[in-house]
Amino acid sequence: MTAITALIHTHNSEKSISRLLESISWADEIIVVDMESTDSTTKIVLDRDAILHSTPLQPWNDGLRNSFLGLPTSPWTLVMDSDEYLAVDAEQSIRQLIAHAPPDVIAYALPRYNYVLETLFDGEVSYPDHQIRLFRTGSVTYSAQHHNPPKPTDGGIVANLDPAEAPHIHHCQDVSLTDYIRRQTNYAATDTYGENVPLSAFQEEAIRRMLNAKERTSDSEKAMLIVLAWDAIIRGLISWEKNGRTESLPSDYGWAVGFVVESPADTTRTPDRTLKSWASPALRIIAKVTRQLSRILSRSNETE
Amino acid sequence: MVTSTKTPLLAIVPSRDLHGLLRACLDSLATALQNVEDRDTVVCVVDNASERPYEADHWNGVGRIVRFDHHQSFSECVNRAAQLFPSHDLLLVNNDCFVSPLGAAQMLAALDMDGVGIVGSRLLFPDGTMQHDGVGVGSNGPLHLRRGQQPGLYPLSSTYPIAVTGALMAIRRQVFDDLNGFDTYYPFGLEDIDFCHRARQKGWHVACTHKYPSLHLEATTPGRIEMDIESRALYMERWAHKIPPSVRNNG
Repeated sequence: MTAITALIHTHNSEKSISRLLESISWADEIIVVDMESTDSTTKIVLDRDAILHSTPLQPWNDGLRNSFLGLPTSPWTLVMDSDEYLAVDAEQSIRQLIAHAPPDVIAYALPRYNYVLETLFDGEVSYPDHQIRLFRTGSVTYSAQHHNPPKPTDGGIVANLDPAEAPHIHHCQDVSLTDYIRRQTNYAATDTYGENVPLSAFQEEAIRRMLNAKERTSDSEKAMLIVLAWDAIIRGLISWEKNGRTESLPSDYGWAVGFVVESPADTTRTPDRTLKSWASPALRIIAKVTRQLSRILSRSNETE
Repeated sequence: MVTSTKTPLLAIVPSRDLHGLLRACLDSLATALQNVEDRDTVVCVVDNASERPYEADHWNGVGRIVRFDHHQSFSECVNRAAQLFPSHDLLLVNNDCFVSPLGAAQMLAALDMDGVGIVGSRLLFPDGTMQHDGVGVGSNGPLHLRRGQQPGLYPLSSTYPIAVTGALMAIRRQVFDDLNGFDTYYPFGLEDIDFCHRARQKGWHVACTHKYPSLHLEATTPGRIEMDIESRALYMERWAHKIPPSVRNNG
């Protein structure tokens, strides 16, 4: 039987780490890399007979992973986050996967369920949300960014598993909305950004997420997507600054998010002459946003 | 605070999809467990590969959700949940079973009797007729006694049938461990009757309570009937020559 090492990074993870360790107790080796936890995380880890390593807390989890990818002694590595767990039948599925892995497949991307604010976050951006977590030891490298997938170090195939057949990662973000916003803002502030990505790209992503939010019936899902829409706008500003403000900041940047929320179809507002003073510039912005929306929708139609 | 000295109780609810049905079931179970005064209780829902995982929602009174990504047999669901709580007696509850407020307390009182290892309960259909009043064996295998009959015609004192349904079943932990749990060779159905037969072979009694009947809709999980055919074939192969028919096929 081919051995597997589970590799986990923790930081103040006492609420979730027990469930994760229980769900992967079948792994042949469990290595936990703790980043300066001040709660009972490390005690829980040691009680479970896992191998504990410590490292200074860093803003970029993913880049940090590279330093510890050489620790596993098994041919396959399974990377898990501390707020995730596997189903009780995952062992059988995962062992079958690696037992029958074609030689050119170096990694598998597992589908992931995301539970946030007591709801299943299953919008198009969040399911199946494939994560490259199961790979031949030493075959992938992470980037320094947050939540960017690792890349094959020396080539090879990364296989996306069919969600209908595959074991899933279950990701429980047990946080309040305020904590979620705080975390997203922290990610945005500490992430790395590509060069010369136009502000319009961030704006379009924000609109896409806001349109997705409008279709949701659950308040929690709506709230999440609204945060993510504004997250795109904030990231655009950070990217703009980090890239030396090479373009001038459009006067309507960020307005799109608000106008998507206030859909004309949802209001019964009648014309009001007192609005005349601001109506003209606002209409210009609406026209611009409408053009952007049309572009997005036409692209979406082309891909369907 | 008074600490219970009795064996704690694990209520196991295997379920797949049907979120509304599960919610109603758990509400009834929460009320029934409030009336169990002398034991600590915990409810474990076994999510048997629901398309929309139960993890996403809040469930009344549930202490633990055990998730399977791929559909498993009833036996596997029960055994895995029981493994997580190794010192608890068990109460199995189907998701289409609505437990009477006093039903669980009465079943556990019967389980406390000397020599009793398994306890079932009278179960009613929504129209008030009986769905289950213990199990007998007919010429075609096991059948529910007095199915479809009016409960008022029969006494309320406990009986000792040959077996009881796992739809609502209390199990003494020692029995469960002695038998290594339910037999996972059964795809879905009759593993409960097999379990009762094996318990009786070891000398344990099987009881059925009647005073506080619960409601059972029966076989609401999609695909359940097809799996039952395969289970019945396995059951007949194992038990037909050992447990001769003792009741007429109309129970």
